[in-house]
Amino acid sequence: MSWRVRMSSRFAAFLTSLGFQAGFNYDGFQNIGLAATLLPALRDLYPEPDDLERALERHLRYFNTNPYLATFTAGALIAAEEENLERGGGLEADTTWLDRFKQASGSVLGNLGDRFFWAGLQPLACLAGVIAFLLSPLYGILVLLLLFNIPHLLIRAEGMRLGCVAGRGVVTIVAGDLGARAIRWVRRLAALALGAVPPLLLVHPSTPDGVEGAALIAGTIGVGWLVLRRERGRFPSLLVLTLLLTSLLVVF
Amino acid sequence: MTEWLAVTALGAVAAIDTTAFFQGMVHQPLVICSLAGAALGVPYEGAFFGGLLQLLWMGDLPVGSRLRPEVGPAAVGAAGGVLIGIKAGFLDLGVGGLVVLLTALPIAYLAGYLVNWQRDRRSRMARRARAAVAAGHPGRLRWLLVEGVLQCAGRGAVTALGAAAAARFLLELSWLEPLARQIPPYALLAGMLGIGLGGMLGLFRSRELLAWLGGGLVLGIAAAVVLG
Repeated sequence: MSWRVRMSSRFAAFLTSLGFQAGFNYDGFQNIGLAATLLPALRDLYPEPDDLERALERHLRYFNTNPYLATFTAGALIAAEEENLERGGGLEADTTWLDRFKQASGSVLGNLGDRFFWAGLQPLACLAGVIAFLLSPLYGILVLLLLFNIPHLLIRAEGMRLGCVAGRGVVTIVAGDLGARAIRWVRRLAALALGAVPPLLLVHPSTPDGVEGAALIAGTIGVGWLVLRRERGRFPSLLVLTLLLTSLLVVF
Repeated sequence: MTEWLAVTALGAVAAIDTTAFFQGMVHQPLVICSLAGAALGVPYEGAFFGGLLQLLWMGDLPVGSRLRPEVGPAAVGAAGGVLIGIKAGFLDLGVGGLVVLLTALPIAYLAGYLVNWQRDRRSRMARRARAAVAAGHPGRLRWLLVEGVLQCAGRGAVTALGAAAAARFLLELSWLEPLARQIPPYALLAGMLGIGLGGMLGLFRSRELLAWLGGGLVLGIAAAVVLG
């Protein structure tokens, strides 16, 4: 494959992708973010203003995915646009495949990203942060930020690179064995950290001993059990808010 | 005045990190409240409130399309308001913790509605983007993203300022203090731990993950014994 898009344009696209969500709206969801991310690359591919306008219009249609994995789609779209030009397709060619690819990759990567980042890496980073916090608040902050941001930035950067290399095949690569294995391991580690937090927190020097300490452990387990038994789909914090406001009303 | 400005600025940073740029967990209560504590010269108290809210919100996972509370700006605002009170001579951490919870929780949910409202209004932005491209000004797409970041910053600043003012007001209520003094800080932490863990346990219901969780429990107990 010849590289019509310059390296600097790919880097500019990666930097713009960090603000992917800034234009999130209920009309086209992440369409502004996607079009702005692709802009440096499309400028290389379509130097004529009219062509650029038509190319951008196609990317201003609906798009939605997990923001951390959006670079995979963006990279693949850059490669697809290059490939289209290579084959002499140009802007006149039928591009319904483009919309279909955006829709398919958006939902596959959205699902994958939600499971990896929101239900795996974020809980892992928060729990590890809480454990390190017991040693020193500074360690807690550093562990939380580093544990989340090093993989997150590497994945975003790799997404742009792999997308540009593999084109539309990138979704198959990520959503296959690689993605499943990453999700499995990050969730295992999060479960491990979740198990380690209660004993470490409850034997912290600031926790009382004796009957008071035992009552505290029992109370923690009781509260945890109540939250676990809550109606599915409701945030635990909503339960706390309701309880707090009700008890305040009663007291008042 | 400087203290209020610092809390407002941190609220803006938290909102940008939550919904607009980078999204690198700077908005997590543990991080942003500790930063507020450091900025206001009361790092220990800031870290305590951050830890308290982190434990509570650990179980709220942003998966799906439900209305999500906007945690960062509300947390830093509520903690900031109490920290300003602590600097002014109000010293009880237990009372402070309860006030932080009472303020941060409802304001986070209100701010969640604000996020949705802002996204709804941004439909105009999508139309402006199409118009800019059609008019031959594609470069404006980037400025629209910058505008989005600034909108988020404004929303976060307003949320944090509102939360700080509400927390400061609650600290002044005479009937709340004797009631809150009944609750020791460690009991608050344990309660929030229970809520956070209970929320998270929902994620790990499979037999395999429960085995890993059990392994973590054993490791945690062993580490606790070793550390004394």
